[in-house]
Amino acid sequence: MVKISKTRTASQTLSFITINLGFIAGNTGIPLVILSCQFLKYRLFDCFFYVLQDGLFNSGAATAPKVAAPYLYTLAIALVLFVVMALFLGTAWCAWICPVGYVQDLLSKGRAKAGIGYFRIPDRFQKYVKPIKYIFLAAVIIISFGAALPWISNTKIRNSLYLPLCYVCPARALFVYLQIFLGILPATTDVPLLSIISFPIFLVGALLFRKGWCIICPNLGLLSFFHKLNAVSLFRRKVRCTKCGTCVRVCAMGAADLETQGDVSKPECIRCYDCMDHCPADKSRSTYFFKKKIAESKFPATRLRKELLVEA
Amino acid sequence: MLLFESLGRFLIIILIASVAGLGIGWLFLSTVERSERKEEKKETKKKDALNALLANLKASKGETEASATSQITLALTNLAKQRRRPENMQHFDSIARFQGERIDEIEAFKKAGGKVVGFFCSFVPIELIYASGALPLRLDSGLYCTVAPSEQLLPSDACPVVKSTLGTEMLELSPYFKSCDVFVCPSSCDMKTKVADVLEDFVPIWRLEVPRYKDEDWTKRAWQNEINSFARNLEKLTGQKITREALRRSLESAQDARTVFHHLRELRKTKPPPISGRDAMLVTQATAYDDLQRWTEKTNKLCSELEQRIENKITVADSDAPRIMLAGSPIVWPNWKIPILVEESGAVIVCDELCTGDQGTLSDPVNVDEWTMKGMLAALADRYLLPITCPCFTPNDKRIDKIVRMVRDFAVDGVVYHQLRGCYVHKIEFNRIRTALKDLQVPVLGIETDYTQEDLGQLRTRIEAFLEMIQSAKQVFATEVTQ
Amino acid sequence: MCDPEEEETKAELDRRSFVVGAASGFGLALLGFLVAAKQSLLGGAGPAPIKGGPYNIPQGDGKYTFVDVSGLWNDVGITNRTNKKLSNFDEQGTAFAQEALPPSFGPELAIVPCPQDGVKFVFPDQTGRVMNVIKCQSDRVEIPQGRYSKVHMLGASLRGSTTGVTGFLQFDGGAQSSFDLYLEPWRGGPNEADIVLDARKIYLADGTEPTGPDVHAYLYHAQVSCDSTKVLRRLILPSGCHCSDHEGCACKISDIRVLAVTLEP
Repeated sequence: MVKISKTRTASQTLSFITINLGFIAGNTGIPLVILSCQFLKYRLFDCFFYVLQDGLFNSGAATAPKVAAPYLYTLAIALVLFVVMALFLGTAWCAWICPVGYVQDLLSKGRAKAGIGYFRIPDRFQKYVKPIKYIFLAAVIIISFGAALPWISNTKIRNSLYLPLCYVCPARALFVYLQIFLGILPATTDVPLLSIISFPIFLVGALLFRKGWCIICPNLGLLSFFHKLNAVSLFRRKVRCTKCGTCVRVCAMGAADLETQGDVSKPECIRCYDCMDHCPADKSRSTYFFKKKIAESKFPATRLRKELLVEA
Repeated sequence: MLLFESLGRFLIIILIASVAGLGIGWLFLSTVERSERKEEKKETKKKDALNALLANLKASKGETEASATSQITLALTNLAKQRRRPENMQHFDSIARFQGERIDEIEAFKKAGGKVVGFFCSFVPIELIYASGALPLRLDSGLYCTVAPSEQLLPSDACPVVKSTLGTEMLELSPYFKSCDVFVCPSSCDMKTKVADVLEDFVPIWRLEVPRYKDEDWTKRAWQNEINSFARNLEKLTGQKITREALRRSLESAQDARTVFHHLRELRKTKPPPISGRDAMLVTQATAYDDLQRWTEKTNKLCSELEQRIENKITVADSDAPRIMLAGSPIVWPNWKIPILVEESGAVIVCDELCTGDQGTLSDPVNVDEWTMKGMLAALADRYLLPITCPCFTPNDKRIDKIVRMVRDFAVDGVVYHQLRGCYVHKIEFNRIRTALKDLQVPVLGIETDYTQEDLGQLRTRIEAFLEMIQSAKQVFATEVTQ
Repeated sequence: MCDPEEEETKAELDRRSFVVGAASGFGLALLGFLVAAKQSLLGGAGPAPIKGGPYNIPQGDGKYTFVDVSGLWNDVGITNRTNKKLSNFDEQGTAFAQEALPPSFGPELAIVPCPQDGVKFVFPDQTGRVMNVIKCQSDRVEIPQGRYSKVHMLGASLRGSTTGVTGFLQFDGGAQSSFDLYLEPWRGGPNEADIVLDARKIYLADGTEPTGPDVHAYLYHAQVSCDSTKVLRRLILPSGCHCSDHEGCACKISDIRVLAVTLEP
C-alpha cells in the first residue's frame, strides 16, 4: 500500500533541489511563500518574507509618498502573488515544498530510527501554543515597518532591526551555513549571532517536538488565513471513523481531533497527511484537489510473509 | 566578521547548551512512564469452606464433563452437516474440540518453562504477551453445564458467561484454564470486575482498570499507565525483558492476522456469502486458543478457498436468504444456539457486532507511527481502549455509527440483538440501537436468553416469524421498484 | 445504500471549488493588471538618486585602513528591482543587480574581502536608493595621514583595457607621484585574475533584467604601490574621457568606476 507520505517526501526532495538550482537557471525573482532563504547564493526563487520585510522597511523609511510608491508597488504584487499561491495550495506549501519542513522530517526519521521517542504537547497546552505563530507574524510586520519610521535616530540600531525574521529563520541557519561550509559563500559572510543561537533551538524543537518550528512559524501564520479557502481539502466522515485516536496521536501539529467532521482543516493543518496514512478505517479520511480525489485512508493490510502464503 | 574570536567562544557555549538540552530531553523520552502498582496477591488462598464445596463438586465432575463434551459435539456435528461447507474448516473444528494437539503443544510449552497468561475481554494487548515470551489464551466460556456449580459463589441472576467461566475454573474442566499461570481481569462491566474477587481464590489475578470515559485526557493517561505496568508485570512473570525488536515482531505478526481477518470479513460482503456465519464465527473464536501464526496461515488458506468459491458461485445459502447481523451480548463457543437457530431458519449471518466475534482483538489494527518503545506502547494503549465500543463505556455513541456503517457495507436485511440475562449494559443500549436502525429502515429482533436449551422452541418461532417478515418486506420492495 | 456523508462531501467540494476558482481567477487578473499597468501606476521618471549617509565607516580592521569615499559617490551603479530605473553604472542605464550579489554584503555598508589575497573593502549600499559608485573625474580623496605601502581600489572600467589612465598620489610636503590605474572592463575582459565578485544579473535601461550563466558583471581589485617613506595625504583619481563620442575617441581613455579605497601600511 503506497502511502501518500512517500509522494510527499519525493515532492519535498524535488523542491529542495529545484530551489537550489539557481546556479543553472539563475534567479527568477518570484517570491515563494515558504522559507526559501534570500541569502542563498544561486537561488531559483526569492523568499516572500524578505520581500515583505524589505518592502515594509523601505516604505517606512521613504521620505515622501512618491519615494515609497515603488516599494509599495512591489509589496502589492508580492501580496497578490501570495494570495494566488495560497488559494492554490493553501497550507500544503508547508509540508510539500518548504525546505525547512523537509529538514525537520529528515531529523524526525533519524530520531525514530534511533529509537528515541518524542514529546506530544498535551491537549490542555495546545491552546496556548497555537497563537504563537500569529504573535510572531505580527512582531515581524510591526518591527519591519516600525523600525523604519523616523522615530529612531540612530541608524545603526535602525539598520539592525532590518529583516527581523531573517535573524531567527532556520532556513538561513540551515542552508546559508551549509553554503559557507561548502565554500559557495565566502567564509566571512555575515552570520548574525542571533542566527547562530536560534539554530540549536530549532534543532531541539525539531527533535523533541517533531515539527517544533512549524508550530510557531510566521509563514504558517500567514498561510493559515487560507486554510479552508484553498484547493487542497481534507475530509473526515464520522460514520466511517472508528475513533481509534490514531490521527490525534500522530498529528505533529495538534490539528486532528475526533469531533470535527466534514471539512476538518484547521489553521495548524499543513497537509502532511500523517493522519490519513495511519487511519485504519476505510474511506474515513480523504483529500481532494479541487474536485478530484487524491487519496483516502485504507485498512493497513500487510503483505503476508512467504510462509503464510498459499501455493496456488 | 570582526568578532570572530568571541564568536567562536559563543559557538562552543551554544553547542554545549544544546547538547545538554537534547541529552535531558532524550533522558525524559527514552524512559517509558511506568507507574508503581501494589503487588498483586501471589499465593492462592483456598479457605476451608471453599475446599469443602469444591470437594463436593468434584464428585459430579464426570457428569459435567460428559455434558460439556456432548454440547461441543452437538454443535460441531451441526456445523459439519452444512451442505457445501468449506473444506478448510477442519483445523478450526479441531481447535474447538478442546482436546488434542493444541493441548499437547501448550503442555510442552509449559514444561519448557513457558508461562501462559489467560485473559478476558478485548482490552488485553496480546502483542505484549507474545513479546514477553508468554502465551495468551482468551478465557470466556460458553459451556452450559458449568453454570449451575458456580451459583454457589455467584448470584443466580448474574451474567451466564461469567458464571460458566467460574464454574469451569472451579471444576478444573478446561485444560486451557488449568494451564494458565495468571488471569488478567479488565474491569469492563460489573460482572467482569467483580468476578476477579471470586477468582482470586483459585488463581493469581491481575486487574486492569478500564476507565468509564474514553474522551478525557486523564483517563487516557491512566490507561497508558495500566498498559505500561501490565508490560512490566509480564516481564516479571516470564523473566524476559520486552525488547523493541520482540514487540515489533509480535505487532507485525498480529497485523498479519488482522489483515487476513479483514479479508475474511470483506469476503462475507458478497451476495450471497461463501461461508456461513456459524463457520465464520468459529474461525474468529479459534483465535482465543490457537497459535496466532498458525491461525493466520489456516485462515489465509480458507480465504483462498472462499475466493475460489465466489468465482465458481458456490455458496452456503440461497441467494435470497435474508442477511442478518448479530449484535449484543457475547456469544461464546460452544454456545452456538442463536447462530445455529438463525441460519437453520433460512437466513445467513453476514457480520456481527459481538466482542467475541468481528469486534474482538483482531478487528482494529494497532497503528504504530514510530517503532520506538514509547511509540509502540502509546499505539497499543490507544488501540486497546478507544475504538472499542463495549457498552461499559459512557458515552458510547460510536457504537451506533459502527452499526450503521456495517448495515450499509454488508447490505444487512435484519439485526438480531442478543441479550443475555443479567447483561444490563447491552439491554440499556438496545433502545437507542433500535431507534437508529428504525431510521435506516432495518428491522430488529431483540432476543433475551440464557445458557439453557429450554427456550429453543420459543426462540425458533420468533426467529422464523422475524425472517418471514423480512422476506415479505423485501418482496414488497422489489414489486414496488418494478412498478 | 446511499451514503449521506458522501453527498455532503460532494456539495462541500462543489462550493469550495467554485469559491477558490473564482478567487484565484480574480487574483490572477489583478496580478496581470498590476504588472501590466506598472508604467502608469508608478509614473514618470521615478525618484531621483539621492546621496546617502552619513555612514559609520570604520577606520580599519587593524591591518588595513578604510578610506571614506562615501562623499564622492556620485552615481547609482548597483540597484535592486525597485530602483532599477536609477541604474547607471555605465552612463547608459545599466547597473549591477543587488539580488545577484550575496546579501552578506549587507543592506548598508559591509566589509568585503578580496578572495585572492584577503584585502578588505567597504562595500556601499546596494539598494540603489542612494549613490554608490564614483564616476572618476579627477576626484580628490582625502586620506587619513600615514605611511602606506599600497593603495587598493575596488572598481571596474567601462569598456576595453585601460591605457593612459593616470591618477596621482599627493604626500605631505608637496611631493606627488603618479600611477597607472589598470582595471578590466566590468562586462568581462581578457585578464580575470583580480575579480572580487562576479554578478550574474544586470538591469538594462529598457527595464529588462538579463540573468543566467552567460551574464557577467565584474568588480576588480587594483593595486597601486606607494612610497611608504612619505606620509600620504591625498589621492587623485583618474579623469574620465571628455570626448563626446566614446567609440571613436582618440584619447583611448576608458571611464573608470571606483567603489572603495583601502590602504595597506
